Amino acid sequence: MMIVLFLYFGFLLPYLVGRAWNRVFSWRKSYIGVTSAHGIGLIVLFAIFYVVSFVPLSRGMAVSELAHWMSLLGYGIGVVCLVFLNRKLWQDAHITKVAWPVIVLAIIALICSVLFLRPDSMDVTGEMVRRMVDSNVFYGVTPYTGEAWLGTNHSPVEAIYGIGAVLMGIDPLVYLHRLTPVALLIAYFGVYLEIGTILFGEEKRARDTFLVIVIGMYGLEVFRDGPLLINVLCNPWNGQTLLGSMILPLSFVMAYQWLRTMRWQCYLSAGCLLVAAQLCYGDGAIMVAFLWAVAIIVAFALKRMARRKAA
Amino acid sequence: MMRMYFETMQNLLGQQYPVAIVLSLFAVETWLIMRNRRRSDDRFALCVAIVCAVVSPLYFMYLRVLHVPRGTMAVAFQILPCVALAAFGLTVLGQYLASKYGKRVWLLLAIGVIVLASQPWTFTKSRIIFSNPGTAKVDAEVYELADMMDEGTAFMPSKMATQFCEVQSQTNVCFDDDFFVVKMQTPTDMVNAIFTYQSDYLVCPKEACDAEWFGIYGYQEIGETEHYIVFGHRLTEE
Repeated sequence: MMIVLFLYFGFLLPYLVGRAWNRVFSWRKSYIGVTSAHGIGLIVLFAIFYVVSFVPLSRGMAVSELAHWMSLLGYGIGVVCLVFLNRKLWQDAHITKVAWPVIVLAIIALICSVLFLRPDSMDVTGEMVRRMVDSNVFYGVTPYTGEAWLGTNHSPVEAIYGIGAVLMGIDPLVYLHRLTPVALLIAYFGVYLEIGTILFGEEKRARDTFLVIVIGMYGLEVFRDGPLLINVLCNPWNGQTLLGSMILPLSFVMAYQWLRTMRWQCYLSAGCLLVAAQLCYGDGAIMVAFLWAVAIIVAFALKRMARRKAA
Repeated sequence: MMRMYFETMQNLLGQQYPVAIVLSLFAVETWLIMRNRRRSDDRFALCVAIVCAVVSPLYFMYLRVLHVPRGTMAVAFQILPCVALAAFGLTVLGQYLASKYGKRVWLLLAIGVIVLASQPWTFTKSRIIFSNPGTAKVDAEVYELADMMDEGTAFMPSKMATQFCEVQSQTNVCFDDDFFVVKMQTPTDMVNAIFTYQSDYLVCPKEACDAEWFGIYGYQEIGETEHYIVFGHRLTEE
């Protein structure tokens, strides 16, 4: 039962949401790869979670109770997506062909992350989740000092793991350190595959090289006492890491894409990324907004320069 | 103004290797685009180069003027999606060079990046555990120190211990070049230490280990002494 739940909430639901999202809102109407759909679906689910759970979390709803409601919502979203996709679960699925060395490298990274790597020294997600599950209260105490938590947490990404651990009925740390990296690292891979596709288009060789370099650079991070935000293999679950290594790169590249298309759907995708960023980090929404502002200003300036040159 | 700008740039380059890579790569990239040596649809790379080289330090200057704490600055710096952009730059540059000088360029590029990136690094084995997490080895020194000291003791990397001692005004004993032993006065100090600095293990008096807070950790009695070794959260999954 635990495996079925994990497969549904960790893989099938994000995949369904990603495909439905792509069909409705994305700039690309034709198809989306399986891993990319999974990654983007996960970001959309993060945004939905933030919107839905904000009031219950601020009112101090118990972990088990919110887990119950969230599981119902998860099943509901799955059914709606399935109906929307005309029950075509796999028919239109597009498996993006990636060179085998990239896949081998990604699998090695995944195995190392799940079995051999320890979280960054600044990551406290484990304690927070353990505390939530043990006390059945979401943010009762701050893990740094053990003192009572004052006010509302504006980036409650740990709540997702708390709910997940309760639903699965397993040890929170085993859930966090052994199961979530499997789903999250595949999502990271999907997002970088999407970024590679946007950046390099049909140049598959260049895209594969890009992926190898990305995995290599994240691999090197393991040996470095570096910032939490890019330490993907050691703590993929951390809110800062999700923001810095998944949402911000995707936002930046998508901003570039929007400037070329400027469709109304883009603004909805933007809103979704903004909310997901806020879930992961306290100033996440501001960061994403700043990033877009910079990208848009620079791109418009370049466009204008090009027009002048053409005139 | 210019001095402040260059100081900020220097600071970023010295501390954050991805920025160094991104900046150097996109400087080359921009130069290539300017000379029309690459495909025309590369305004994006130029955009990134401008963002990296100009906007980021300006943003930091802005934060500095507002006296935003250093920690916030470090986080705000990550506004640049460094790894993705560095990988993008490396791919484009590698392709360009490989088309000109052959595939061996990739090997040279990989070695170059590793050498460049490893300069400010502190390679640490502590992140990787190849043994069973539940049976972490405990050094003999820990046993001896546990006997020596009445209060709790925390082992942590020296830079963290220094920070801790500065904050808590604690006395500390230098253990060796890499580790400090920090003498803890109260269980709260230990809780702070283990949560904030994530030391691999603490040795503490029995009564402190019985405190509710340590209930979330696994712990192991040390021989005949009255001390427990309390393992950090990362070692308690088994």
